[in-house]
Parts: sequence; structure tokens; C-alpha cells
Amino acid sequence: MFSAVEHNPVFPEAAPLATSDATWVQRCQQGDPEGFRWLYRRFQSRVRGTLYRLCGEEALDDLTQEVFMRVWRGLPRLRQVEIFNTWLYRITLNVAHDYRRQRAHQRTQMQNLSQTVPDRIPGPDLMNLHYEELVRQGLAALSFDHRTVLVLHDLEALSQKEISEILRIPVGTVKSRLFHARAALRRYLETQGVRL
Amino acid sequence: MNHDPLVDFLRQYAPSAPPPHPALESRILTCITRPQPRPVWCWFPSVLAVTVVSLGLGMASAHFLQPNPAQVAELEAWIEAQWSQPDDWWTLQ
Repeated sequence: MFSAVEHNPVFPEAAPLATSDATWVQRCQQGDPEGFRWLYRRFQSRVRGTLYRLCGEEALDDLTQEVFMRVWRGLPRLRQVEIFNTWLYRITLNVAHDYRRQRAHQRTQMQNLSQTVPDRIPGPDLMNLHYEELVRQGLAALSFDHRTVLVLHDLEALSQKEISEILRIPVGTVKSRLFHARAALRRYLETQGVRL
Repeated sequence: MNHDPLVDFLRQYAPSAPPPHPALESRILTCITRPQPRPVWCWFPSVLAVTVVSLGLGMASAHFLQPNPAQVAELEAWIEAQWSQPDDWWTLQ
């Protein structure tokens, strides 16, 4: 069974925008494509990670492109460069939300709810893959609002205050959603035999 | 550091996104460097300028290019002559 692990360096703590980042953002605001190339390389993994956990693998490249296109178009209107991180997450979540709404609309129109087939079938001794699949399914079972807060707080390591600013909701609502999301996920994992 | 075992479990086993397509970066950069269509309101000053110039030219020509009395009399005589021959007009139809 699972035991608590040490802090995972894959998920660094969210930090305010560094001075060098602000310089690059300002270069992008002046229409410098090279600055935007740097910005893309700097933030694409964070954007992709969030999109992947919210929307899955399908259309991930297209969604990433949509996020950065909206960033490029919106940068000239961004007054406060220091809130770039919050702004970027807000755009990412908007793109994810639009995608989910579009998908739901398509499914309603087609009346074709295809069964989700896991793309990786875990072997009996491949516990890591098994746990990854459980986490993926557990996240997918959450509502979009709960999943968003859980992903931003527990996986992207954003503070509750930052999440409230990104989602434009009170901190109390963030805490409530986080509590219910964790409870639901814990229940799901326990039904799958994971003891936490 | 978070000591909730659930959070630690999530951080250890959360699926990570697959790497992007190698051409994605160049695709995005191509999109942003491509000339974008101008929004509709950008055309407003041009349309307004053309309209003002057209109206101005029309009013100026109406004011300065009026026919002299002799031309007016000649024109009236021609119209009268045409008007007095309705049969010719009907035969043209």
C-alpha cells in the first residue's frame, strides 16, 4: 500500500514573476517574436500540464497553441506585468473550460457517448502505472470546478489566494471546493483498494 | 511541504503531459508573425475620410459648377421641345 513520499521536485512552488520574466513579457508586449519564443519555452510545460490534467491528452497540442495565441493577442492589453502568472493560468483555464463545453455540446448533438478506454492497461506488477491510471480516472470523475481547484492547489502548488484570484472566487469557496474534491478523490481511491 | 498523504500520493502518481509535437513551437510562432486581419473598427477612419471627401467634392461642384443663365435657357428650351412631342416619346417605347 501507499505510504507518504517526500516532496516531489517535479512540482515546484509557484513563485512571483522574476525580473527577467517581466523583461521578456515586456519585450513580447512590444511585438518581439523572439521574446515570445522564450516565453513559450519558459511556460509551455506548466500550461500543458494543467491542460492535460483538466482535459486529457486529446487535442492537447491544439489547446496549448490556443492558449499561447490568446496570450500573444492579449499581451498588449496586460497592464500589470507582475500578474502574468495569474493571467496565464486564467487564460489556460478559460481554454480548458471552452474545450470542455464544446465537447459536451458535440456529445449532446451526436448522442454518442463513447466509452472511455484507458490507453494504458496496467500489468499486475506495474503498480506505478496502475496508480497513475487510478489518479487519472479519479481526477476525471471529479466535477470540473473541483478538479480545477485540486489541480491548481495540489499539483501546480498554487496558494489558495492565487487560485481565488485566478478563478475570481472567494478564498472560502476555494477551501470548500478543495475539501470536497479531496474527499471525493480519497473515497474513489479507497474503493480501488488504495489505503492512504 | 504538505503532509496530507493524499496530496503526496497525487504528486507522485499524477500523470504528466506527453511532450509536445516538435513542430508546435514553430507553428505557434508562424501564427503570431502572420499578418492578422484588421478589426472592423480599424476601417472606420478610412471610410469616414472617403465619405467626407466625396461629400465635400459634391457640394463644391454643386456650388461652383452651376450653369450660366444662357445654358439654363438653352436647357429649358430643349426640355420644352421634347415635352411638346409626346408621340415621338411613345414611339420610342
